[in-house]
Amino acid sequence: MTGGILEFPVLSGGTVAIDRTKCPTCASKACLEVCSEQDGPLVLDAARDIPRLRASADEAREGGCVECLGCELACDLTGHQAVTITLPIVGFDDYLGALAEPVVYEREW
Amino acid sequence: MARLLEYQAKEILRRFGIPTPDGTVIRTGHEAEDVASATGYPAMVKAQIRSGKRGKSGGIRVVADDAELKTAVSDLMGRTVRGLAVDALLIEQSLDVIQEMYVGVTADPTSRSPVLIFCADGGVDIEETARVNPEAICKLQVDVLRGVYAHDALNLVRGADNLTSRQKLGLANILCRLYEAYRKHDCKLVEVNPLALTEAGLVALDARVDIDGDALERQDELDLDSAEEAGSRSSTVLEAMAGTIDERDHRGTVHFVQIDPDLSYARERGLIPFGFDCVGAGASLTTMDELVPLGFYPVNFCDTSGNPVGSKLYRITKLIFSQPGIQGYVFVSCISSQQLDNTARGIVKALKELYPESSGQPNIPTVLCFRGAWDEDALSLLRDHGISDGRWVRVLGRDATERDAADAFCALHNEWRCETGRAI
Repeated sequence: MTGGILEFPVLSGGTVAIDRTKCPTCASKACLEVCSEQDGPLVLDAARDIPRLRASADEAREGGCVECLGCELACDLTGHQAVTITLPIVGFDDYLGALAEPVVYEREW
Repeated sequence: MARLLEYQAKEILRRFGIPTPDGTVIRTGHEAEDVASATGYPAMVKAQIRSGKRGKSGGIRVVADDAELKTAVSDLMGRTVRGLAVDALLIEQSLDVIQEMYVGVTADPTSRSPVLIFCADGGVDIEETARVNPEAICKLQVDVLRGVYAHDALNLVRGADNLTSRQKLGLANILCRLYEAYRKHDCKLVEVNPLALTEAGLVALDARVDIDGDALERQDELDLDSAEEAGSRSSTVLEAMAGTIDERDHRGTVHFVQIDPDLSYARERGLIPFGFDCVGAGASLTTMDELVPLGFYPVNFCDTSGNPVGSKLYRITKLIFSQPGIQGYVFVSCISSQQLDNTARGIVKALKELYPESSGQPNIPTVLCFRGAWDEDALSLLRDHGISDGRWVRVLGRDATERDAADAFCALHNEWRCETGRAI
């Protein structure tokens, strides 16, 4: 009855994944609050007290999700860290692998 | 804008039936002899760089035999011509030229229409001809709905007294095909200079094609990257990635150019390199104007505008921070109408990923200046996620000026340098 993982694609390439096993015990439901401010695709499945898509994954992928990143950040702060947004950058790992010196965020000063 | 290399431009011309010399592109020295034996001598060896005046700069050689070819290839391959690295050479047949002409199609901003250009005196000094003898340059504005008919093009070239009627017909035909190529490939410029009159007819000896950068998405067949215009050099890997990020999502724009990709300019002048992002190109210039006299140099230009989604900011922030050698990061928004809370979310997510052990607090001096719509929400996000509390972070709001941001960064960098012992 927990709904498992809700995963949907986004327009720019990437996915939003919500581990809904963590959601029933979340009092804030902050992801839904921020998503509704953006007229985004997440709504409350009242029967199970977890987020669900208002329409379909296709709607989210076609721009229904405005990729504000608010659900993940809000869940990080006041929820149960159940949201993971993965936004790949094509070629980025190869670029980092080819660098002769470490990037600044891998350095210790 | 994407400026094609000569051989790429000639491929397009050939598709539209415009003759070019037989030739082949080589990328290593030992390919040369096989190519030349097929092409024959004399042959042209032409450096493939995005620049004019190659001939005057030694980037084009005429070779008469294998020995001269070997020398020319050795001289040019891997070297720089007009400051640009040569990693490909076009070897093509050399033709006997009777007359050199100029033909081109470009966009005329005054009439807001394409314009066909013809000059019977083409070749290396067309710019000088345009200056001292502008009457020699014949132009025809084109109604894009009507297009170009053969008789339009024929009218344009009829003043070329030294050409026969048949040659003028051929020339008009080439102009029509050039216009077709211009339209089909969303060009800003298609230029043949020189268009040579030879015993075999008219041949495009050199060509330039510039594609409108905003149209690259529908020019798949050309297989070009969608990087920002970066002058005459090729786009960097990061610029190409940024171009793809921008192209894949129409919601808001990100314009990213590496001003000093290898930090050589900053190092030569003793300036401190930093990564840079602005909302609004005007604020970007103003902030640069404040920072450079203080001894800092932005290694990139980046303008995120038009209300970009948070994911776009997230990705571009990761690219900016991945530029090697930067000693700081500055973000400044103009008094913007764009939704700055989404901008902040992109930056926060990127920082939290890049700096997981410090919960997103950077290890280099970082100034974040949010001014405009939803700026208070942006500042709240930075506070709530602990970014504002970072030892090397200063957050400014709508009361701050570009000068304030520059001064804050300068003071922070001085502290950082003293504490970390980092040399300039």
